[in-house]
Formats: sequence, structure tokens, C-alpha cells
Amino acid sequence: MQLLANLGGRLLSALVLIGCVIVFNFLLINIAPGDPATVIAGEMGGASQEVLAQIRAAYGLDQPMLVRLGTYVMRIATGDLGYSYYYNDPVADLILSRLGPTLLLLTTGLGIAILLGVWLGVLSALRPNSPFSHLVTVFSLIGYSAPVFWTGLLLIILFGSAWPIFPIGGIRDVTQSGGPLFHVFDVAHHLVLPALTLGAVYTAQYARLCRASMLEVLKSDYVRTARAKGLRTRVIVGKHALRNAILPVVTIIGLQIGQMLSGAVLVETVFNWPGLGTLAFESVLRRDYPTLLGILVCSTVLVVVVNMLTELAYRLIDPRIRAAGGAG
Amino acid sequence: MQDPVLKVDGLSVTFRSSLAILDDVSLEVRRGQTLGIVGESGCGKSMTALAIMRLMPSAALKVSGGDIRLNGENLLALDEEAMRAIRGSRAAMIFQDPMTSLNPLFTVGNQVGESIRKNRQIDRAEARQITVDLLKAVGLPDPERHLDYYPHQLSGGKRQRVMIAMAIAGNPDVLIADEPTTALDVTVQAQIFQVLRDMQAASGTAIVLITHDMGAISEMADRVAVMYAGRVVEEGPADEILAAPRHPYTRGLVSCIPRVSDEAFDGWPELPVIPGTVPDLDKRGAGCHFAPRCPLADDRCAARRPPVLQDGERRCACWYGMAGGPAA
Amino acid sequence: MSDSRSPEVPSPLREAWAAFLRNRAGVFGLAIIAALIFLALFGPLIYPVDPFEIVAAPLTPPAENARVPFGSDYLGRDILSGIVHGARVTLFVGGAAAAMTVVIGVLVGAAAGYWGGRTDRFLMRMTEFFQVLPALLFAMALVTLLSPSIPIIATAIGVVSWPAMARLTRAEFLRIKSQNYVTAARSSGAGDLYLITRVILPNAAAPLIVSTALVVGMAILFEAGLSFLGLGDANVMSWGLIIGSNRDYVIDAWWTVTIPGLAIFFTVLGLSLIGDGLNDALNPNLRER
Repeated sequence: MQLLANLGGRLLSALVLIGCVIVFNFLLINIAPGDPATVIAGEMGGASQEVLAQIRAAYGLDQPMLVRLGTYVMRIATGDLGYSYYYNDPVADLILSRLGPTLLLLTTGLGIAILLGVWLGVLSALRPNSPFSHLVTVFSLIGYSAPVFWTGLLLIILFGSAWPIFPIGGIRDVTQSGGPLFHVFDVAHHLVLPALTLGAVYTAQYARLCRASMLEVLKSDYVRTARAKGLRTRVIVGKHALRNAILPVVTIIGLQIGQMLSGAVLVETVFNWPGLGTLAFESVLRRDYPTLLGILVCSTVLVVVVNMLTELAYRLIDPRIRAAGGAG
Repeated sequence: MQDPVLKVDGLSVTFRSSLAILDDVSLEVRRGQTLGIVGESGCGKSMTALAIMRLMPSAALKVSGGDIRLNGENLLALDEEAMRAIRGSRAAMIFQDPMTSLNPLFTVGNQVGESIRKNRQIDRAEARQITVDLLKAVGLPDPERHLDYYPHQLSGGKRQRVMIAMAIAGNPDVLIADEPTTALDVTVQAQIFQVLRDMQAASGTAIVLITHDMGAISEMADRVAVMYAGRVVEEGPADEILAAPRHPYTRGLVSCIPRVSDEAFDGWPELPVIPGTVPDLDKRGAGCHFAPRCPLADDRCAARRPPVLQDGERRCACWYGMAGGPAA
Repeated sequence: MSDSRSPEVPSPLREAWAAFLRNRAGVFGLAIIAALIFLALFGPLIYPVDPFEIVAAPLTPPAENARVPFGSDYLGRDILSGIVHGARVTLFVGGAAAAMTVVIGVLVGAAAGYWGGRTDRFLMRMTEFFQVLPALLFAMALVTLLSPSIPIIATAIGVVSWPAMARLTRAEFLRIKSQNYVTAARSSGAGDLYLITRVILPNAAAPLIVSTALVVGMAILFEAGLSFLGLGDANVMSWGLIIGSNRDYVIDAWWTVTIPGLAIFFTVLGLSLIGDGLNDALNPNLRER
């Protein structure tokens, strides 16, 4: 079917893109001033000569550039993202262990942003001049303008001392233990503040976008037809208007996922959330380049995957794109 | 003679309580008949249609006087919920641009099915069958396949047929068609008129055809109401009015129709035009609105609104309307 | 239709400016940014306290000690001074990064939109590549590998922000390219450069200008994020740095975080309001009822 053919095409472009990122990564390592072996070892202040020699051999640093590039790409393709000399662990393992919390944070934040943002946007479009609508606009401006790490810290101030109903750091309470159910609740409890912080920024954006989009759609001819057909307001808004109004939001999710990942890095740092963000932050502090660059590659893959998913979602919603078939 | 299906009596609509969009508009349609409403852009013909359906686009537009009776029931006295029940079932409307009047994200079957199942408990399978019958009735070839088509896959003429199918799904007493063929090719226009005529012959539905095209009037209308600047200036059987128009404005309109005949071309080197333009909403005086452009106008015309003179089946709002003879 | 207006029709620029002035929110935003510029230019002259100098006891609350009206940070440095001096960094990085973003973005987008075909495909692939790189992580890597100096930071921000601008420019060029007046100009013998700069670009300007205001805001947030993480220039006091370095003391010393954050917030808010105001002024048909 057309859809599968498109999917195949997109997959191929995605792979090429990821390939480019890997090459780019390689270039980054080599533009750093100094000896690449030192870069790879991490400037831990004197990696021993044996370690450096080991690295040189393993990475073939005495080989010509293109051969090194080839080896590098092969390593990544087989899942070998290098070795972290700080943590004494393969980078791939490190990343895998931290991937879960980040994904959890991202999906929850995104979920909040979509549900709350769309809901607020639709409601304020239905009553465009009401105080509620103005409130939503103000909230959108604030959410958009406030730095995400500042919002997080403000929440910490609020819930850290004045109203301690949510934990302000970490992913679980290490002082207590219990069965799997407790574990789930514990993580969820810890998830609230970070997810709200991350979600707030995007809720603001989506509310604004959805409101504008909905206002536009409500003026359209097909909504006028729906009214002339005598359909209930609930059906007109919920079925006819909403599906059209939500298209720009779907588009923007794909475009913004990179930003959201950046936001996640900051939120994780603020709340000590043990995900890729804190790992990246720590690698920066320790000058652990393999880990940092490994995270860069993996997060780029994540962005590409999400992009593909949103594009798929868009095609599912909009039959006109399905028919057109071609590249976006 | 039976009572009219739709009777509009002295309808007046104002904008922001000060500007008169419609001024004392009266017209009626009987079962199985087609009433054409003709006039230039801005004369209020579309607004009359929207007022009947109570679909006026802005809260600033209010009905300031008059009655609209559908089979004796005053539509203006109904609450929104009761009016909604009437739309799409007893009174239906189709619009000018079929490209934008159908929701691009839903199939033909889905949208026609909506009209069928509105207010009635019909399961999907039965609705599907009824849809097929309706699409056949409006002349769509291969109706089963069209059920799953999306609007963008159809031509303009087919889309308008789908609109008609949606409109007649509820077996309405009156169908209002607001410039249904203006956006279509001339050849398709004729087909659409045929569809409407066939439908009317089969079900006896009264049709209100709104157009600026005198040709459409001569093809479709039994009676015609000519509107100018928010008022009905002449009304009566279509063929009589076209053959012997009485109101100076109607005479101007009719004389603008290019005719191929020796008499018409004698001494007429160019197509006649009515000099001047329709006055702006805030510049319409107390007297006859057409007076500034009328070759027969005098002080009485500018000072007081002319009475509606009745002569059998015909009405004309002009002091000089009954005087025979061509306009200058 | 006769037009009884006087023949003195104001230029589009004056009309737009007048429309902007009618938008109260936009004017408010402009006032904020004007204050910021004033602060950046003259603040350190009027209030010459060194933000790195220890002038009071650590974590003094605001309004307690006259030497530190906004309180002091965890080392005893003056927060107000940090705000005053931080304005310069904010302005510079925001402005430089935004300039880079706009220049690269518009060039790429215009070329892709105007010439189409292979140029378009190639440039779009490049745009996609930079768009897919997670911005902060990339900037982190770049700053770590090279050095955390202000120019490097501004460059890093510019490099990751231009794709959106390019996309917007390209979309506008595609839309305008097919308009009749462009075809008319071309058939009168206009060359590519003339068409791009004198015909298409002015008509594409409105959404680009609005976007620029927002780009400056995003650049400022980005810089704040980097310095919060400690990746900024350690020799320059920036608002993000104040927040980042005091983050462990936030619960007891709210002013060390709240006040610099408010500075960032108001700056970005001001820019967003200007963007909104410009949007209303330049695109009247998009105004809501």
C-alpha cells in the first residue's frame, strides 16, 4: 500500500540522517584541540601512557582519517558507542540504563502538554473574548517566556518548604522499599514535579497554537455546513472542528521534539532525575567525551524516530497527504 | 391554493442595531415551487437565506422585526435547540463553494451518513444503504465506491452533488441553495440544475435559489424576487418578470442580459450598464435606495420609501412601477 | 469607485508602526526591551559594583543590607550587580545569536525557495540535519570540546537555531514566487538578485520580522540554560549563571534564584509581546474578531 512505500522511504532517509550525525560526531571529536586520544580518554588529568596507547590502537588513531571514520561508523553500527573512562562502563550500557527515566519524563511531559494544551486551546477558542480566554493567553505567554529551569526551581521552592506534598528530587525514595505497586506509585509521585515543569512550557505553546487554529477552523465553510446540517455543537466542535484544528499541533510536535529534549536535560538537572540529561551534564563536568557524544548520537536517533512517528500520525489524520504520497 | 411552505414576512435585520442589512423583506415559496432571489453582491440575498436558517455569522447581526414561518411555525420564536432540530431535516441549505464546504478529513459516506442519522436511530449498515440511494438520486455514478472517497478526490460538480445529497437526506420541506453553481463550470451548472429539478419533481421540495445570474433564474425559477440594497424591489412569476420587468432596477438587470436578436442590437453599440454602484450600508437614505441611480427618480422617490404595489401575482416597490415601457 | 481620501497615503512602514503603537501589549514589550538596553549600556556605569566581588555575608536576604539591596548569593556577592552586569551578556548573546540565525536562515531558505529543484532538496536535507540535532546537547558538546567563551556560545546557539528560520523563509518564498506580481516583474526583465531582494523578500518580510523577535527570545533562554548548567563563560556574570551557581541553596535563599529568573522572564516576555504586536500590526487579516 502507498503508506508502506512512504514509510520505507522515510526509514531510508532517517537512516541516512543518522549516518550523517555519526559522521558529524566523528568530526566533532577531531576538531577538539589536542590529541584525539586524550579527547577520547577524557581529560581526567593524566591518563596513563598505556591507556593512551591502548586507545590509539583500538581506535586506529595512527591510521588515515577515512579509515578511522570507517572504523568509527562500524563500531557505532554494532552498538559499540565507546567506553567511558570515568564510569568504567561501556557507553552503550550507561545510556541504556538512563534511557528509561528520560523517556518516562518526555512522554509524560508531552502527554500533559498535548491533553492540557489542546483542551485549553479549544475551550478558549469557543469563548474568544471571555476572561477565561484572556487567562489562557496570559498563561501561554508566561509559560513560553519563563526559563524551564527557573520554573522548576520555583516549584521546588513551593513544594520544598511551603507545601511538601511532592518530592523535589530523584526518582524514588531510597529509604523505603516495597512491592512493585509501591514502586510504581513512588516513581509516579516523584514524576509529578519534573513532568509538570517540562509540560508547562509546551502546554503554553500548544494552547496558543490550538486556540489560533481552532478559531480559524470555526470560521471555515465546512463548519458552516455542519451547522446548516443541524448537528449538535458537541459534534461540530469535537468531530469536525477538532480534527482539522489539531493538524498544526501534530506538525509542531515533530519539529519541537529536539527542543523538548533540551528542556528535559535542564529539568532532569534541576530535579536530579536520573536520566540521559543528568548523564550528559555529568559527562560535561568530567570531560567524559565518549559518553557525551554517545548521548548526542542516541538522542538524535530518538528525535528522528519521533519525527517519523508524528509524520505517520499526520498522514493517518489527513487523507490529502496520504494521496499525495510524496516526500514532505 | 395551499399555504406556502416558507413565508417570510417583513423581515428586518440590523447590524450593531443601527445599520439595516435587510429592510422589510417579504417573500414566500410553495410546495414543489422554486423561488429565485436575484440581485447584486451586497443586496442581502445571502443574508436572507442565513436569517431563515438562523445561521447568521455574527452576534452583531440581529433580527429587528418580522416573521419567518416554515409550514406555519414561526422559526424566529424557536430556541436554538429546536432550530437545530429543524436544520438539516425540515429546512436545508447548500452553499456556494463545494470545495471548501465539505470537511476534507472525512469520507463522503461519513458526511452524508451524518445527515441521515441525525435525529434518527438508524444503524450504520442501513445508513450506508440509504447513502448509496441518495448518491444515486443525485446522479453520482458508481455510488458504492464514492462512499469511501474523500472530498479532494472528487471534481467540483461531484462535490456539489454530495452537498445536495446531504441536504435532501432529511427530506426537507424547503431547500435553500445559495449560489450553488457560481463556483462551477457552465456545463456542470446545467447538470446541477437538472439534479435539483429532478429532486423537486420527485419529492415536492420547495427550493429557494439565490443567484446573481439571470440565466439561472430563467432556467430554474417559477417565481423570482429581485433584491436591491436590503429590500425586495420586485416579485412575481419569473417568466413574466423577465419578459416585462416593471421596476427600473429589474429593467436594468434584464437589459444587461446579452441577447441575440435583431431588435436588441439595433442602436445598441454596447451592452447597457446601470450607472453608479450599490450605496454603502450607512449611506442609504430614507427614500428609495435605488433613487440615486434611477432614470425615473424624482424628489418623492428620494424622500419617502415607495409603497409595494400589487397587481395580481406581481408586486413592485416603485411609484412608477406600473407604468409600461422600457427604461431610458 | 470614487475615493474621496486625500492623495497623501502614508507609507506601509508608517502604517505598520502606527498599528504597532496601537497594540498596548506590544508597546509594553518595547518598553521592557528599551529598559534592558538602557540597563546594558549604562547600568554598569551608574552602579559600578563588581558582580564578582564579595561585599556582604553569604545569602543575605534582600532589603536587609544596604550594600546588597537584592540580597547576596552563596559567596556573598551582590545580586543586583549581577543583574545589572548580566544585562550586557544577555543582550549581546541574544543579539549575536539571533543575527546569525536570521542571516543563515534567510539565506538558506531564500535559496531553497527561489531556485527549487536540487538546490532545494540539498538545502532542505542540511536543514533537516541541523534541526534533528538536539540543540542543547549539541551546544553542550561544542562548548565542552572547544571553550566556553561568549563568541563560541553565541555561535553554538546560532548554529542550532537557524533551521526554523530557513523553513519559514522557504515557505514564504514558495508562496510568493507564484504570485502574479513576481511573474510580471520577471517578464519585465528583472534578474534573480533583483527579484529576490527587491520583489520577494519585502513581501516575505512580515512573518520573518515577527519570527526574529521570537528568535532573540529563544537565544536568550538558550544562553541562560547553558550558563545555568555552568557552561557559560565563567568570567562573565550572566543571569543563568547566578541561578545555576546558587541552585543548591534555593529553598532557603529564594532571592538568588527568583530575582535573576524574573529578569530573564521579563526580557523574553517583552520580546514575545513585541512579536505579538508586530504580528498584529503587519498581518491585519489574521487579527481575530
